[in-house]
Amino acid sequence: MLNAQIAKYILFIADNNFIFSHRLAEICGHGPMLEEDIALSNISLDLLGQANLFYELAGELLDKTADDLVYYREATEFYNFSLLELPHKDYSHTQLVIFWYSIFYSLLLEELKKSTNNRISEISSKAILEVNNHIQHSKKWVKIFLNGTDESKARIKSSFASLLPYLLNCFSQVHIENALLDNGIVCQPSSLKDKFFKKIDNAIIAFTETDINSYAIPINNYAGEHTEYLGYILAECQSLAREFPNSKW
Amino acid sequence: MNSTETAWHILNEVMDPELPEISIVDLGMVRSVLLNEDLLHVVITPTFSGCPAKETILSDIKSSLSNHFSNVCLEVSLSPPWDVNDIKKTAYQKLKNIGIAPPVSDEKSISCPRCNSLQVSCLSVFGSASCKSLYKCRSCLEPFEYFKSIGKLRE
Repeated sequence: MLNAQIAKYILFIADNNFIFSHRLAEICGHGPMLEEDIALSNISLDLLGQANLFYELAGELLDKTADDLVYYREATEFYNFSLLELPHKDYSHTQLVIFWYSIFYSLLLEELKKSTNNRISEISSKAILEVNNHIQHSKKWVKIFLNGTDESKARIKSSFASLLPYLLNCFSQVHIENALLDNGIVCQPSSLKDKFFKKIDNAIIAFTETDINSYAIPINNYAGEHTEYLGYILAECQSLAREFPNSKW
Repeated sequence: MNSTETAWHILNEVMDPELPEISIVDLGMVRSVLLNEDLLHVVITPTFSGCPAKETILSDIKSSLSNHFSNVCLEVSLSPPWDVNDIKKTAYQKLKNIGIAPPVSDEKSISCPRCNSLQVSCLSVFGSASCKSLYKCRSCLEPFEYFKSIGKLRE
């Protein structure tokens, strides 16, 4: 029973990385400039590699392979945040999601490094070294938009406003069973809210008029609820494997 | 007579597919090599989680070692995680030779591998491969790559 709960939590982390990696990969070939194409592809690749490590771990607990978990689960069996399913609007939107997710993810990994589960701890210790570079890159872009032209400022403010309910949702759901928390195995995302907003410059919060206690979109991702976008993402990335099951390159 | 020395010698010849002349031993990927009776136990640590060369490197290691050792056990360990401190200092000149600035502890001391100037600019922390950042030299005007900082280099 405990194993199933641990596996679900690990899938939650892996799904966040995998779905966001997919969204970032969509930018390849469509970035505003070549260096950004490369940067986002690299971030996508890092997240995919980390997702693979977490999927393999979950697979050991569920007696499945990483491929089984990625290609043969339905949308209602995925646990990723809806923030990461959303389609790209403009580059301020894309970089803002990377910025927010990498900060959240690095705070989560800091806690998971101390997990009493050795495997979770060692994967987290490795992943955090890579995520620091994602924060560095996206922070640079958020600042460029904030300090840029009237248009860039308007766009980043608009991205903050439209994405904030999805961000706040990340801190208002994912209720972890006490058994996992009491045994120091995992970390409750809601416990990271204060630390998260401390990491965001006060000036940014003021400029974008962010109210950290405002409306959080009520989608319970941890219970398998998602926006309709997830359906389209999975239809695309699972289709080849499902059409030719057990094929190898 | 096959020994751990032979194994290390073989591993020294397994090159990173994306970094010519740089071996997996140079990169500090080989954590340990133990020979117990006729079982060779090699522990490897991956550099980057998403590195597309990972599978190739593992199969290169296996096939090279299997030519000399009948019983090879290859273990992939994540702990302690690989970081830039694992790169052998002896490999730094080899990196410079292929146009990659080796890791430094203070980013202000990154120098152009061609003209050694410190007048450099970071174009992107993400470069052409998982392990590289993209820089430009303002002195000789050539672009170059810097070994991406994973972890902080200790003095």
